[in-house]
Amino acid sequence: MRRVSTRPVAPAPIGLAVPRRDGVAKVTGSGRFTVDLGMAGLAHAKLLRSPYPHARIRSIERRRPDDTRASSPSSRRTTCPMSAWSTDTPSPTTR
Amino acid sequence: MPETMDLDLTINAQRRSMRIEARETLAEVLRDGLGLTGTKISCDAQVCGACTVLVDDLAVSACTYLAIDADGRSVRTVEGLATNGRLSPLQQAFIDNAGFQCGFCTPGMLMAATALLEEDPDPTREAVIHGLEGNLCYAQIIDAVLAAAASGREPVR
Repeated sequence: MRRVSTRPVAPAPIGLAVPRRDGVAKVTGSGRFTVDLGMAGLAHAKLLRSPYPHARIRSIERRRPDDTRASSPSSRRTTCPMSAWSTDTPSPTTR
Repeated sequence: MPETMDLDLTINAQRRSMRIEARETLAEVLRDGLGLTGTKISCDAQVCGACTVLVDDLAVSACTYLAIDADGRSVRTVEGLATNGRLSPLQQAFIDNAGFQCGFCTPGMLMAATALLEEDPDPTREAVIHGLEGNLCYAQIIDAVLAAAASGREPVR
């Protein structure tokens, strides 16, 4: 059987102003969100979903990615939709 | 080959020169080019205000502001608000008044509110609400800005 402690505990933080430990990071822009992380050699992927709900895959065309892909932040932007969260198909690369 | 252009501007009181593509936005140059990731891109369509920076003291949406339009101008970002490690009264007020939850919109809020307070150091509550209408968030911001305005009127915190 589980026993429940009846010893008094430290005052609960309910009702107390708790200092924000991440306060300075959040108001100075130094706090890192996932989108702020950069990693060497980071590749970007995009899922291309089938427009057919029920179909047989007869073949998959695998074209080599062009050599500007995944090489620099600026080239990344030429191969992705203009809007960060867009589901549009990628815009054609310009170089 | 995309067209590239020379960009000379002052960022947080520092002169910077770089070569950019003509179509790059100020937010892209700040984040990807200069590593100033405090400026956030959220809606990328000038709706949410997360990317707000000051160009010659005017609050603009960096996500839709062409970087080349800032040529020769002075840009201030959230990274430049604190001076010598000292938070601005507004930054301190955001912490003291729990003016953020996740903090993603905070840089844009701070920049919009900085411009607001520079223009009107003693705004009414309505003026603060109106001034931050272009910045979306659920957290409690208005009281933080008002507290910052009040702290500016007091001699020492």
